[in-house]
Amino acid sequence: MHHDYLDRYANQDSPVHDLDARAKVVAVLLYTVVLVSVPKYQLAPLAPFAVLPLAMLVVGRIPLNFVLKRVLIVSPFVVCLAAFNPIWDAQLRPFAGTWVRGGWLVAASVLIKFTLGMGALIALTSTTRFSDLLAGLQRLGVPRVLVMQLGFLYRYLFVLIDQAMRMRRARDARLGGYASVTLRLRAVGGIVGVLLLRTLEQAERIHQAMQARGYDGTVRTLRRGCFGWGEVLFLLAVGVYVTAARLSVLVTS
Amino acid sequence: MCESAIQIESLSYRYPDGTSALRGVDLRAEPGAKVGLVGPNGAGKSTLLLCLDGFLAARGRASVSGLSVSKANVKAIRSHVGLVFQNPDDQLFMPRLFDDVAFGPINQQLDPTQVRQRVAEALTDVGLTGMDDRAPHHLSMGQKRNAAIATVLAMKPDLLLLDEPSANLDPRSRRHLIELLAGMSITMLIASHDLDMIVQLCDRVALLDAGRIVADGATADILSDASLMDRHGLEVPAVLAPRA
Amino acid sequence: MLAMHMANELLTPVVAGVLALLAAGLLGVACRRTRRSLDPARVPLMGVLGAFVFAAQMINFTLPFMPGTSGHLGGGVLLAIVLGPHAGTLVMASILIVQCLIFQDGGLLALGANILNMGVVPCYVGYAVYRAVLGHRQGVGAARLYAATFAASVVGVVLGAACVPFETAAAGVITVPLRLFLLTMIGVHLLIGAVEGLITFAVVAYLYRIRPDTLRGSELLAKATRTRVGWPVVAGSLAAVAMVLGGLISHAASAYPDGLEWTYAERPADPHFQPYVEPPDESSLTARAEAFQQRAALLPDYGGDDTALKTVAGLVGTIVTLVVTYLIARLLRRKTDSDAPAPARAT
Repeated sequence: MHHDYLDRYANQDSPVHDLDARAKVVAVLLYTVVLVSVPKYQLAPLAPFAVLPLAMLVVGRIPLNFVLKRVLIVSPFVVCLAAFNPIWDAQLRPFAGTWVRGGWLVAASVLIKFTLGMGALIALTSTTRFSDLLAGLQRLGVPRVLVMQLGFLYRYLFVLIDQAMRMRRARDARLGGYASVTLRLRAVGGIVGVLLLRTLEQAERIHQAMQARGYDGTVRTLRRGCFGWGEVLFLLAVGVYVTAARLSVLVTS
Repeated sequence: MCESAIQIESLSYRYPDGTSALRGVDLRAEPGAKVGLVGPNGAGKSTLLLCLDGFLAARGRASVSGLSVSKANVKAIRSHVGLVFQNPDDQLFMPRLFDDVAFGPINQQLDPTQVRQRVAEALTDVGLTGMDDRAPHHLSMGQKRNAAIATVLAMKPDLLLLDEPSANLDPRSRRHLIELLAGMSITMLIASHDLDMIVQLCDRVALLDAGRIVADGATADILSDASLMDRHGLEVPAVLAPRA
Repeated sequence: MLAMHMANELLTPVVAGVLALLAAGLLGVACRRTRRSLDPARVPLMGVLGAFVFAAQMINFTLPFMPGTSGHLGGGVLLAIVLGPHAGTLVMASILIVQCLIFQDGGLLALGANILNMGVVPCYVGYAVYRAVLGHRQGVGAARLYAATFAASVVGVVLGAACVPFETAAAGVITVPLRLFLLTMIGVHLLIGAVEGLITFAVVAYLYRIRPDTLRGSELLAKATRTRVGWPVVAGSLAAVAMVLGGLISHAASAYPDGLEWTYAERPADPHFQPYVEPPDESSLTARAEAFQQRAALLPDYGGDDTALKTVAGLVGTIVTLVVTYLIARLLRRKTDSDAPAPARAT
């Protein structure tokens, strides 16, 4: 079973891991909003924004090259758009004592914000067990039905991926060499079709198991998580930090 | 004075498409008894268990733990009866083991302290103490099977219905399961192909074939009857095979 | 295929917030409608179907004529055809949330936008097209079912993708001209949608044969004696897509010269506006960059006055870059394949 990559770092121990999920979610959300709100031509004020993700990642003992790899993997679309921006944002603006096309500034700004924002998101999700994250989201007001739905998705993600991989391997073993497009397409259709039918049946059985343990449609959960002084201090610190970082825009502009 | 844990009289059930699954089943089990339910595939074993837990509307009379099986009683029945399904993956549906084991007690509307206590006890009973925070997909097959049983035990049922509990278990896990079940004093109805396990756990066995109980009595008598076994698609388990 | 999830940085907090509120509202509607047609107790179980979509995306289909590349199911349209648009949207929303949180596909702030583009639009629009082509009369055969599924996929995927340029323009961070961005997104997604259509129909054909009752509109379907769709129908559908694509490209090339004037016309009131002039200093960053471009560019007139060529170059360059970045992403993903299955994408 190679499923541990998902929760690989979430089960470690660190001050960041110990923080209540709610505090981390609110902090990262606040940070992301403020980060994105930095005006697009300002690059210098972005520097202080590197502190939060770096701090969370380092204290949380998440390897930085893991983070960078993930950022790289999801970056193509943004990189592409950013790279073409300078063509159209041609107005010259001052930068570091010289004149540069505004588009280059925006491109740099977008890429820097992207990396930092992703870093913060990864810091959140790799220092929090998914079930804790869901519990935190629920206490923050996300509807219970949605939280339960996400819980099921996460729980059965690997069960179904395993099934799919097994069927894919069986297919690959049989479709060795050249097979016509039609045949390949029908194979995909058949596998996915079988997967779907099996999933629908499994969903029925799960529903039965739920009913056998008293489920009547009302989602009931135990309150979880403890929001103590550590969390309060953390949020205060983050609040002060993002405000200061954002205000630095006024200073440098 | 003790009410039968299970009392079934002339239970019949037809699938929506008309095929008969159960034809006039009679069965009784005393409190504390462990009864085996054996038979070939398609005999109706799983169907019978589902009927007893109020999932299928059957004709005839059935009562479990003194409650008559009917739509009105479904909630109460499921509080008293624990159904352990064939596939633990169907039964462990929460992202965290604690939440799975707590699911039953929470739906019984116990308060949080009681819920936590039930979870701790159930996990200890099946030998999974301290595993609350694990995600079910990180458990081995044997652990999953025990976890599934824990989810049911947490509701403190009077009666356990088990559908193929030893399926897919490696020898060691199977042995642990048998020890676990043997040590419990709850009334049990165990549907299984694993006849060796049935011999170890159950004093009584009911043989179901094509929806009818064709034999009901002491395990050793029934399971060692070679011609009876053969007629109904089964074999005498190795434990009872006559020494050559 | 390509990760077309939007990142936070393409939006501003205000625009992202508005889109998130809109998405939340529509999800609320979808949830209410789902509970009406489906036992409310079953709604959480939609999550299991979300897991199904991730798993289904692992089953790749190697594209003909393009060795080494493969496509896979996005899933939105298939979900709508099997579960209906309301439940389908709910499932897509949970998929997108998990993709954001677990695989970092798409940003936190852009979740609202992504749910709209890749959940709400493909499911509702795709379903509407599906039912429209299916018609109301009995006896629908394989060919019409194919056409309905294929059209639903292409239109759903394309319209969803078409929302991105409008959202980006409303935010104003990236200033790629709306029309060019729109044409590029539509063009690329015509291809993605076509592959989605083929794969979706392959699944629908299987269900038609084995369990037709799982498909919406099954009451109209004729008994499945043949689920083979003749080559003419398939070729016709692909040709239609190719023609639309060709039309778009030629439209972009010929109609575009006005485009650049248009972006400049937007800015006259800006007090800091300086008309584009040669940079004051030959050694400045821009001048050196321009010189490099002149030497390195395939189309040396790129920096010149020929606006028409510039826009064609822009279009071609965009497509080339998309392909290159996609290939790089694939290479990177192969390296991480040993630790994890490829992050799933809902296109």
